[in-house]
Amino acid sequence: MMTIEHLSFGYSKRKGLVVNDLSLSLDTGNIYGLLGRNGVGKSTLLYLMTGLLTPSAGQVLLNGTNVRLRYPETLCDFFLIPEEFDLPDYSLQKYVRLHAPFYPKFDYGNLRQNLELFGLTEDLRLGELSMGQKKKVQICFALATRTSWLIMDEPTNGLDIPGKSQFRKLLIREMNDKRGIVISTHQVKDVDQLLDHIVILNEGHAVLNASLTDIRRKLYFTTEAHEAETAQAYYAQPSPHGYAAMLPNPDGKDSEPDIELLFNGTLAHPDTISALLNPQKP
Amino acid sequence: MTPGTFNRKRFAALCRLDWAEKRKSYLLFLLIFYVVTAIIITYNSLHIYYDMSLIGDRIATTVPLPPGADRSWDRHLSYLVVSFFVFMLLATRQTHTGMLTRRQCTAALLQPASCGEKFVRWWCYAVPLSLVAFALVYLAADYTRILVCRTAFPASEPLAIPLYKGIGWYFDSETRLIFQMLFTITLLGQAVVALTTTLKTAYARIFSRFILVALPFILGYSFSSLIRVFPTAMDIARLWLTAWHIFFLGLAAVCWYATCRRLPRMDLEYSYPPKFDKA
Repeated sequence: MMTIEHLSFGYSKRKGLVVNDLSLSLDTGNIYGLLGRNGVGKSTLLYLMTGLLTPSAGQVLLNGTNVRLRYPETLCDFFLIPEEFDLPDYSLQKYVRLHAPFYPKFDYGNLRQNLELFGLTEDLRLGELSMGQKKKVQICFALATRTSWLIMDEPTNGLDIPGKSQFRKLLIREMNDKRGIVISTHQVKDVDQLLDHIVILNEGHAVLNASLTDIRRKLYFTTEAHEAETAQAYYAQPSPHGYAAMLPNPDGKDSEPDIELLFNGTLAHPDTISALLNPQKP
Repeated sequence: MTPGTFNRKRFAALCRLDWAEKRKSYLLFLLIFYVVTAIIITYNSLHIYYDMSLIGDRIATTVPLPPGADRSWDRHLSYLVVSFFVFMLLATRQTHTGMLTRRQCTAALLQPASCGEKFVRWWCYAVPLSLVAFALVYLAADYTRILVCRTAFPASEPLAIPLYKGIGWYFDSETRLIFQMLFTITLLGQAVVALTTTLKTAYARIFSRFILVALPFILGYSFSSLIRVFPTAMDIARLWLTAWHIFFLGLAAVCWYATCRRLPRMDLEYSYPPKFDKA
């Protein structure tokens, strides 16, 4: 379990706080989608969650241990895939031989299976790979470490169209109750079928923190032909087939949440959506 | 924050990883040092041997030497002193885990090893292994000097003697004192480099490295003051010199300890390239 307690952080006093008194509780067995506008602090929050930055207040606890202490036992229990990273110029086999000993639960068989799904082999030379291929390799390696938490910043950036679909398949296959995944992304369409919990950041706060089950229960997503039919909607926006609308769901009707619409609606009416989905919050 | 635990297996894995990723830069550093040293000492030696072929053992040296001694070492000693200091300081910076970019910082900080293990790896590479590397490269450069001198100037064959055979001629009380001083200054200099590397901003790092420039002067001045105060009473002078060495070696140990304590504080806000707007 990962707990974020009253976390605050700012890069300088002049720029103010990027994360302001944020509290969240993340459980294994879920895939969390971390959404927000550019520069809102999604990557910063990921860095704070992995102990790469020092909070000005509050803390992030992983199974009760403050991640900022960067104890080896904590570092080998999560894996961060940043948006941009370097891989050394040697073979994947050598990379695995050198890095796997740091992860006690590393599964070599799983790595081979993951690489197979992406159509990659173990005799790759990492320096010769494109950014997309490097990302695939890093995702395969990260999953094979069998860490409790996998934290990914824009994981589908740089992946080709088949790669995105393979990425979804892989995550579904590798997901289990002992593992939690946090995905920070702008490409909501790439991962919307995977997510089972949404966190939307705005101005340093989590304006929405709700499971997909709650969202389905309380909101009804539909497309109407005319704008007049969306009068009751919390939020509506033009779509190719008319108007995509996010409506109250008093009858508990089932609908497939449109994450993009939810995101835009939450940012347009943060207080309304927050009060509806996070009633305990002011 | 504490540097944390020490696990032998993880430490070995950390050393293997560092060697695999930085081997090329280490070997390039040693190669450059070898080439520069070989060129300088060979050039100096050829000059000396040529003069010796004309005037024999009467060539002036700072230390009185017996007949047949390799007089070129008289000139190499100053290079040896300077190169040792510079080599060890550069080696301290070179063996620090690369943290010049945000990507490198992220990789280094998230490496699942304790700060204690990362520190011990750095210290082992920077101090004992760098000492061994310096000695081996210097001996290799010296053999190159002998080979080149004997080939290019056959008359130098009886004069060109390897360093490890001839260094004894130069070991009088004065040179011994210089080497002891050099060793103390170098160890302190390395500790200062290590400590300043862990400072948060580029301004702080650059400013604090001025201490390094001043270091030989501070130590030299304090040393010559001691000699001036105790010019004849050798026993008292020796006592003060011992105290002088202990004080500065103790200071070096404190600097390394402070470095070890500072390592856990480092995070992504440590701007390694000099970003003056953030400093």
